[in-house]
Amino acid sequence: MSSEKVELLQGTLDLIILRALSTMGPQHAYRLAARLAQVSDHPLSLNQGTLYPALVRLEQKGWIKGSWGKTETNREAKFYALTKAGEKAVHVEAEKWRRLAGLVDKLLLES
Amino acid sequence: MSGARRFFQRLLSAIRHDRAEDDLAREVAAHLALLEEQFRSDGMTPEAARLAARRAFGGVEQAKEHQRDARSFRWIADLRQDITYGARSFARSPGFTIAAVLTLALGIGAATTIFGALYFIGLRPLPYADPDRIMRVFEYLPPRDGIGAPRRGHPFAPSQLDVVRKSASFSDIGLEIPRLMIMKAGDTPARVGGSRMSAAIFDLIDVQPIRGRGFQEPEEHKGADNVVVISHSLWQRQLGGRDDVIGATLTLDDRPHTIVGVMPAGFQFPPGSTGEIWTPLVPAATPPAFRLPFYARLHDGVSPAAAQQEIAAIYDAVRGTNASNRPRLEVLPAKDVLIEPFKPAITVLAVAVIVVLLIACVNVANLVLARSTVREYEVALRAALGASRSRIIRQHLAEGVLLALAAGFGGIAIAVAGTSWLSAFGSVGPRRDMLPGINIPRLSETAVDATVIGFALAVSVLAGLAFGLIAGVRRPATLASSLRRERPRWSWLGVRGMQQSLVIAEVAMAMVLFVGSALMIRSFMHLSSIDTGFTAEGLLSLQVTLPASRTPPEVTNFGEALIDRVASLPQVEAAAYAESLPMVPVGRPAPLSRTPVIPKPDPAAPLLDVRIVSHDFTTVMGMRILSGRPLAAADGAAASRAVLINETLARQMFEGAPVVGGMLFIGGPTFDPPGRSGPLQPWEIVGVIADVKQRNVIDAPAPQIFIDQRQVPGPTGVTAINLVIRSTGDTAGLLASLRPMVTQLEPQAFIDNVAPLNSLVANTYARPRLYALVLGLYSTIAIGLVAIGIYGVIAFAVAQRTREIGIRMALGARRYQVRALVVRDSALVTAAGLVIGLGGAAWSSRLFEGLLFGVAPLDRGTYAAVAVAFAAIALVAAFIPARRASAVDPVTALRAE
Repeated sequence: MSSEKVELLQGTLDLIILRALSTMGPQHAYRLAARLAQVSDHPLSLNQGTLYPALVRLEQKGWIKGSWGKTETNREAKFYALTKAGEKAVHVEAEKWRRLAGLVDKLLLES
Repeated sequence: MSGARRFFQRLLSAIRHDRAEDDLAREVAAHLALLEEQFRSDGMTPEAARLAARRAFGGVEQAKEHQRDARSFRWIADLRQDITYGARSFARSPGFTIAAVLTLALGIGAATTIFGALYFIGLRPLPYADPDRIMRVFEYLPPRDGIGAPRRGHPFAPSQLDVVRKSASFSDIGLEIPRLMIMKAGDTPARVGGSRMSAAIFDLIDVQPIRGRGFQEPEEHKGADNVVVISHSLWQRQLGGRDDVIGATLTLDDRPHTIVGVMPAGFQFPPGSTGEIWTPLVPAATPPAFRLPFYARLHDGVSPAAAQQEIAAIYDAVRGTNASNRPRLEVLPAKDVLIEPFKPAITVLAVAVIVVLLIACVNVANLVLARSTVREYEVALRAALGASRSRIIRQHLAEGVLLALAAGFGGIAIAVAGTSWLSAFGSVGPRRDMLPGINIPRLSETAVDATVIGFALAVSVLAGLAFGLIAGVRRPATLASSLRRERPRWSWLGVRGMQQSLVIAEVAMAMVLFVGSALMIRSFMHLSSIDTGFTAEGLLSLQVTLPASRTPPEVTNFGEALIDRVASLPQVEAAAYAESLPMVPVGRPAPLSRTPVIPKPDPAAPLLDVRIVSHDFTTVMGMRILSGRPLAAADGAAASRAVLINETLARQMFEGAPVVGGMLFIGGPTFDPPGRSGPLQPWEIVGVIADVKQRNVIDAPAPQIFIDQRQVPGPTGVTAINLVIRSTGDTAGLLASLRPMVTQLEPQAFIDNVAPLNSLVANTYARPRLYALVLGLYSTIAIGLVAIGIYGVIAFAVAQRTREIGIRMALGARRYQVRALVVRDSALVTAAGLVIGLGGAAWSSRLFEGLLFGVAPLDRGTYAAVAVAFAAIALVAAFIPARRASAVDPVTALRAE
């Protein structure tokens, strides 16, 4: 079913964003998009049409918090930072992902 | 947890829509600016960098749209849009909006007012714990004189309670009797209502005092019963809400009572009463034949039917009856007993309310239909631009609900005003010692509370959805056809057909209501024109109460002395006094015979109505003497005993034989000399008086006698007299000169219950008056709405047919012919509605059973008059647009196309 696919992709994207914020510290959407494009093999697969919904989703879950600030070039941008709950969520979500990836790996090897 | 958090955030962001939108726009703009900066630093020209940034970002609107979907809920956004759009569209047609909202607000307000009253009186549970298990028990005695319905009586006396309490069906059993007491607080005595009741009642209803305690069983004995539990309001009003209220003393009927408890605010017992003091019921002080209202709490799991069987067995044991001669017994929920007398009126009012509400809805539906025709192009355009059918229907529903909710809030405002008007009728009548004429329990408590508001809003939403469906279900016209400005087809399935069916329906419904209210008004007019047999007009009545310790001769001497002084006042034309006034309930067991032998008691015989009066009372009251003479000043204490009897008694007892000069033998405590009871005492009949109304204007007169207060041998049990005064001055002036006279004769006496005598008479039919008033008001609203509805539909049809009318006139139609064309249309619809409505009124007239006096439910004159009046109103409503139609200038009409 396509909805499951979307669910999985969403979860993945959320984890990637959380992870990026966890390693790089507070970031704005532009920098996050650039980072995602950098780590992904297909830069166009993650357009802003998926990034913005993911950010609002994570913010509503209380994992990240956006606040307006200035970039190094003194332009205004909305910076997203991990919250306390978000820091915990990075570990939980990463663990979930590993378990899922392990399971899929195992299943793939068996067949 | 984060999932639930997100759900609320999504709901919340629908409210913070504008801020979130600003934030998003700013964020995207910042993102683009950063991209642009990047490209510029890569060496692009500003223009090229701007374009490149746009390209790199992708679809800005799509990204925003996706973010909105994730941020909020789609349907909320849609609804928001629909509401904004609807509000704008209503603002563009203020005429329609104001007419629709006002009409519907009137309907909802009228409906909510009556719903509130019906809810507070009938639907709301009694304010006790587990109130559905609180029961009453009744016995049914044969009617007096063998006519009418069986009389409902109370099965047990206080002294029998010990046996009755062995019942396994009931957990608590208690008796209660209402009483009025004179409370002395400082120098001013006042009458306070309350009850004597069993201590068990507190457990039975499971409401405990907020201060102190309820009384207990040891206090149900003589000497220990000088305790009182008071209401919260009396505590606040009389005792200033003081903290040390428990143990304080209250003087009631000249006896000091210790306050042992204060009930919570709003407490009432018996249900629906306004009593403020409760004292213990002392079985030993109550005559064994004195059976009192019975209350009991049913054990869990016991059905009223099972309890009824058990109580019948107990009844047999207590009263010595068996299944063959035991009267019918009935166990009924206390609440049902409370609202029983109002069931017919409640049904009628509920129907009236539904009718008014439906008529208001029909009118608005007609407006919505008319508007939907006008908006056809707009809807077609939306459909052509890609709006789906369901989206268009949703739009209509949102608009309908928006309109109806606006009306709903207006309706609530109307209901607040209506409720305060209506609840004022529930207050006490002209005298404390007679039932307030309306006496609808709990009516005075009626208020617009959360339930009532919920009702108004629910009705609004339902009506709104209905309007939305009416406007939305029609398949939208194609853009092409609506651009060609095709006129809607003249068919019964089209807008016009629907409008005409709706008008027929509302005319029919209004007819039903109109006939009903006309019947009620005629009934009220009948009641108010009944000859009472005395002249109440211009007479003032008032009560003077003496301390309870005064002896009968002292009361009589006071009365005689006072009346002499009052009569000497310059503004007083005539004055008399009596122990009781007409229309004030009185009953005195007095065996009566043509011989000195005490007759066998007959429970079905009518009670004798004994009136103890000053000698010229009947004259001052304008009562007619049929034969013989009225009582006279000479009929004093020393004179031979004289009695005046009414024609009913003369007829019943003497059956046409000569009466005046004959002897009547009367017994009972009042007529036996003190300390002696034996053979009946002889009284000489000095005159026969024409029948007067005694308790109300409806009941047939009971046998009645008038005797002079000075000749009463035994105790009357009353230390008060009622004055009737005919005077030329104003009441305040009269009272000012009266008060010192009273105080001079008896320093502790006080005056109250000051009321014009005709208000006491009117009070007995205050309830039919209220019904007639409310129904009359509602049918007036209904007729007004229908007239507006007919006018609106015809006016709309005329506007739609301007071209046709123009052509007809160009071809030579005369103005009167055009008018006839329009009026005929309306006349047909009205006639159809009238016929259906007359049928409906005749069919529903059985609802009025028991509510009508002196007019038959199928009174032909009323039906005919109502039909003619309604037809005339409909004709006028149609004639206004017809005149406008005939004023159409054919050239203008045709050129406008």
